[in-house]
Amino acid sequence: MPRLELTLSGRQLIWHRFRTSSLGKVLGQFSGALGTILILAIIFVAIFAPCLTPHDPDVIDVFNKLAPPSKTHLMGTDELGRDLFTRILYGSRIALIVSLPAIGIGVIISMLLGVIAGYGSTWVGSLLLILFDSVRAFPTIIFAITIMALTGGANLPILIAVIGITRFPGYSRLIRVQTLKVRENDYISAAKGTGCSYMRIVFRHILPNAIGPLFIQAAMDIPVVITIEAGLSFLGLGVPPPTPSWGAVLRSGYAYVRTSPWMVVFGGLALIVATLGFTLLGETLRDVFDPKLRRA
Amino acid sequence: MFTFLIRRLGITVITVMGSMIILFTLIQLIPGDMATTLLGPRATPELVESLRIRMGLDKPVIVQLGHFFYNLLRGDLGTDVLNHLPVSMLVFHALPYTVVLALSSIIIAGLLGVPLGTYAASHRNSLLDKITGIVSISMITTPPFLAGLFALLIFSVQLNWFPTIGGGEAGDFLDQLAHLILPVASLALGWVGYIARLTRSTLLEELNADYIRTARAKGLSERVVLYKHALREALIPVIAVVGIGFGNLLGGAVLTEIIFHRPGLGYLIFNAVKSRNFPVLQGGLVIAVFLYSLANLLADLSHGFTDPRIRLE
Amino acid sequence: MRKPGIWRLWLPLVAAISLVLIVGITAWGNDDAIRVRSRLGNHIDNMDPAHYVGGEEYNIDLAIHAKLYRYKPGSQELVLDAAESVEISEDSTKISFVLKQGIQFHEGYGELTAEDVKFSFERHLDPRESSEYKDDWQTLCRVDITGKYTGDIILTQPYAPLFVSTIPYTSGSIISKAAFEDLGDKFATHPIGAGPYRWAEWIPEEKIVLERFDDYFGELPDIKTIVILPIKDDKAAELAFDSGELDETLVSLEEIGRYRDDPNVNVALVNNLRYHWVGFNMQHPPFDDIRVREAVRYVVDVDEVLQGAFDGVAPRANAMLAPGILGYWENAPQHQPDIDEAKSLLAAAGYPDGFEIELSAASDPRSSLVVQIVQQQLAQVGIKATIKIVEGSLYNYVGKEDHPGMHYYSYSAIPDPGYWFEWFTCDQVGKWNVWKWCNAEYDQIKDKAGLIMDREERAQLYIKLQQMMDEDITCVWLTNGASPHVYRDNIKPVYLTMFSQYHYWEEAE
Repeated sequence: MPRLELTLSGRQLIWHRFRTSSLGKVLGQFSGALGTILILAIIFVAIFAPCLTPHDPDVIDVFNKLAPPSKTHLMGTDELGRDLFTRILYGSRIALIVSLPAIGIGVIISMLLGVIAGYGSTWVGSLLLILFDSVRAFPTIIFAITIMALTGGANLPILIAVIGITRFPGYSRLIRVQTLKVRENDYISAAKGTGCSYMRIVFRHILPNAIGPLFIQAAMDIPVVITIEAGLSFLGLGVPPPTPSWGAVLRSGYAYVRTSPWMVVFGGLALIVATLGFTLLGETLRDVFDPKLRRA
Repeated sequence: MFTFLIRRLGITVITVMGSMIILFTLIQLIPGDMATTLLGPRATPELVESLRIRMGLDKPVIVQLGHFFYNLLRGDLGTDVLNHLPVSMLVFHALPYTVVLALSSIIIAGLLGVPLGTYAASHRNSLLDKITGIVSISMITTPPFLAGLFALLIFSVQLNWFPTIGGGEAGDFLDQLAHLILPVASLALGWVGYIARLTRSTLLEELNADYIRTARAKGLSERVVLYKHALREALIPVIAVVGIGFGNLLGGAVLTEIIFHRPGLGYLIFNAVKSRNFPVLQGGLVIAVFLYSLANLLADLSHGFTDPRIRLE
Repeated sequence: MRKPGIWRLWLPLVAAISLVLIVGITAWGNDDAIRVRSRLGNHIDNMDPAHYVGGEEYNIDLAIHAKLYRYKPGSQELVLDAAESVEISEDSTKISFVLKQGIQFHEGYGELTAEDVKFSFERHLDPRESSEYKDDWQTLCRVDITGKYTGDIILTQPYAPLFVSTIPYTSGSIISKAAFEDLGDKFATHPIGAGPYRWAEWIPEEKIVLERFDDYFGELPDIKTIVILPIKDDKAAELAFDSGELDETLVSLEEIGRYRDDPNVNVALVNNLRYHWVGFNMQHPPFDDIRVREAVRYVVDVDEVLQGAFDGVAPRANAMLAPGILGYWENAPQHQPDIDEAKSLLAAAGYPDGFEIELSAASDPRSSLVVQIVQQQLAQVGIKATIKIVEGSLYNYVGKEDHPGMHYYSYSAIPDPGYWFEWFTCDQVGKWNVWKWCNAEYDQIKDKAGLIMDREERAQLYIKLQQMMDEDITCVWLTNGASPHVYRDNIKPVYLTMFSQYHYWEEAE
C-alpha cells in the first residue's frame, strides 16, 4: 500500500481511497450504482411528491373516473376519478412508511429476544427457538393475511406490526448465533469476571458483531416487505382506503383490468422499480460485505 | 443420520404445534364470530349461542386446543359447522391444486433456469450472459402476484388465449393443464431468474476450483469438465433452493390462487378467514404449516445429505 | 454420494406428473349444460330449508322443492304448485290444503303426502332444530293431517306474511320426511325435494350441478342441466362470461354500458330486494342531535355517490321500500344537498368547525367506494371522517358493539314488507338495529301491520313507518340497488326480483 501511495497524485489518491472503501466498492459495481440511483429516486419522489404534481391524491371526481392518460392526467384516473400519477408518486411514501418501520420492529424484537435466546439459560433458549420456528412455520403471506383479516381488516399500525413480526424470527436467529459466539469468547468471561454489566456486554460486544449480517439481512428484506405490503393491500387487508399504496392501486386495477389496464401497468411498474432498486443494492451490499451469504 | 432425522422430525412436529397454539390464541382475541357473519339478520342471540355451543366455542381455550390436537392425531381436522362436512375433505380436495401448482412452477423454473445459468456461465461476459443477467434480475424483482396480474391482462383479457378462472374441469386433463399455464408461468418467473443466477454463480465458482483445473490439465474436454464435474457440484445448492422454493410456493401461491380463482389450499384458507369459518381455517392452516415445515425439512435434509458440514449444526 | 445432483430432478418430476394424474381421476364434465354464476358468487353452505345461509341456496331451493303454491314466473302472483286446492278460513287462522296425488320425491323417496307437509312446516318451530326461519312460521300452532293428501294448517292468529312469503318461498319448501330421517346431517349437502330439478352433484367451492327431474309432477323445465359456479369476484365472473365459460352471470354495474353495446349479449336489470343507506349511531354524540343528522343529510350528495359507486345505474331511493313492494312510498321527499344549510345547522348544534368521526363499512369493493366518496363530501363542512373497513361481519361492529360514528350498510329482504321493518324496533338495538333508534310508536304500528290482512290498510301503515324514519332522520337513503345480469342468446332466463327461477328458464334457438 505505501508504495502505491507514493506514486499517485493527490486526486488519484482520493479516488483510489474511495474505490477501495466500502462505499466505493458498492457503487463501483453496476448493480450497486443502479440500485442506489433507483432508491435515491424513490426517496426523492417520496419527499417531494407534492411538488411534482398539481393534484391531490385523495381528491375524488366521480364524473371523470377511469379516464385514459391525458395532458391533465398523465396516467389517467382511477375508479373514483383520482389522478393516478399522483397516487403512484405518493405510493412511494407508503412503501417506505410501511417497510422501514416494519423492519425496524423486527430488528428491535429480534435484538431483545435473540440476545436472551443466546445468553439465557438453555431452556429459555430452547423455548424461544421454538417460538421463532413456530412463527416462521407459517408461510409469510398466509400468516399476514390471517392476522390482518382476524383483527378486523385494513389498519396501518397493525399492518406494520404484523409485517415486523414476520421478520423477527429470521433476525433473532442471527443475533442468537452471534450471542452464542460471543458467549464462548474468553474475553467475555474475563469481562464478566471483572464485573462488567450484562447490558454493557450486549452493547459493546454482541451487537457490533451482529449488526453487520443483520443490516445486510434487513436491507435485503426491504423489497420483500414492500412486496408483502403491496400484496396485502391488493387483497384489501393492508392499508385502509383511501391511502394510495401501490398495492391498493393494483387492487383497483384488477377490478377494472378489462377497461382500464393502465392502473395495473403503472402500479406494477412502480412496484417493480422499487423492488428492483432495493434488491440490487441489497445484493451488492451482501456481495461486498459478506460473500459467504451467497450460498444461502 | 437416523437420530438426526428423528430429531428434525420431532422439531417439526413441535413447531407445528407451536404455530397452532399461536393461532388459537389469536382467534380468541379477535372480535366477531362466525355465526352472525353468516346467519344474517335472522340470527337471534339464541341461535348464535346454540351454534357456538355446537362449535365448542363456549369452552375455555385450553380445552378447545386439547380437543383440536386430540382430533388431529385421530386424523380428524374438524367439521365445517354450517354444512357438517369434514374439513379434511375440503382441505384434501383443495390440496392437489396447490401442490401441482407449486411443484410445476418450481420444476419449470429449474428446467429453464439451470440451462440458462449454465450457458451464461460457460459463455461468461458474452452478450447473452449480460442479457440473461438483466432479465434474471427483472424476473426476480417482479412479485409473483404482479406477474400473475400482467399475465392475466395480456394473455387472458387482451389475447384471450387462456381461461381466466378456476382449476379446470376435474377429469379433463387438458383443461386442467390450460388452467395451470398462466399461474405456473407467473410463479415460475421469479424463480427462473433466481435459479439461473444461482447456477451461474456457483458454476463459475466451481470452475475455478482445483479439481477442475486438474481435470482440464488431464486433458478432459471442456464439455465433460462442465457437465460431469462442475455442474454436479454446482447443482447442490440449486437443489436445496428448489426444495425451499417448493415450500415457499406452497404458501406464496395464495395470491396467485386468488387472482386466478384457483381452488387450492391458499384460496380455501383465504375464504375461510374472511368468512370466519374457524374449523376450516384451523384445518387448512395446520396442513399448510405442516407442509411448509416438511418442505423446509426436506430441503435442509438434502443439504445435510450432500454437505456433511451442515449436519453438525 | 456424489451421484445425486442432476437426476434428483427426475423424482419431483415424476411426482408432479403423478399428482396431476391423480387430480384427474373423477367424472367427466358435461357439455350441453348451461353454466351460471351462483347468486352473489357465494358457495353453498347448507341446503336444509331451516338453515339456509343465503345466496344461491334460495335459487336452488326454488328449483328443487315443491311448495303448496309458488310464485309465477317473474312475478309475485301465486299459482298452485303441489296443492290441488287451498282454502283459507274466514278468520284467516286455518288453511286447508288438498295435495295433488302422485307427486314423487327425487331419488325414489316416494310420494309426497300430507305427512311430509306437516314435517316440513312444523320443524321450523322445533326447538331442537333452531331454525333461523322460525319467524316465518311464528303464528303456526300445528298442522293437522286429515287424510293422506289433505291437511289443515292451524294458526294462533292471522299473519299476513305467512300467506305471501312463507308458503311460496323457501320456508314453505316441502321436503321428504323419509329422506331427512335417512340422511340426517347429510341432508344439508344432499337435499331431497319434489321440484322440477334434482340435486345431482356438488363439489365444494367449485360447482353445484342440478339435473332435470324426469318424474316431476308438473311441466318439465326446458333446460336439462344447470351447472352453478361460485365465483366471488364480479370481475372474474365477467372474464369468465366473456371467454365463454359462463352463460349467465351477475356483473358489476360499470360494465353495463359495454354489455349493452354488445349485440351478442343480453342485459337484464334485475330488481333487487335490498336497501342501502348511510346511517348514524343515534345513541352517541354528535348524532344523537337531530340537527347534526339533518346537516349530514344536507351534505351527502346521493347522486354523486350513486354515480361513483353504483355507476349511475342504480335508481335513487328516498325511503326504505323498493318499488313493487306493498307499501312503497312513491311521494317520499327527495333531499337535495345544501352546504350552507348544513353549516348553519352544525353551528346551531355547537359544531361550527365540524368534528371527527369514524365511518365504517364492510370490506367489499363497493362499500369502499361509497365511504371514500362520503368522506370527501363530509369534509366540505369540516367533518373529518376516518374510514374503518371491517373484515368479517360489519354487523358485529355496528350492530352488536357500540361505536359512535357513521356507517354504510345494506340489508337484503324478502317480498313481504314486514320483514323490511323488522330490524329497527327497540329490542333490535344491540342486534340488527344498527341505527340504535328506539321509537315505541314505530314498534306498535309495525306489529299491528303484520296482523292485518287487508292490503290497502297494510300499505298505509307501512308508509307511515317510512314517514317516521324520514322525520326522525334515521339515515340517508341511497338506493335499492340494481343487479345487472348478462346472458347469451342461447338461453332466456327468468328472474323474480333478484332470484333466478331456473324452473322457468328456456333454451332459445
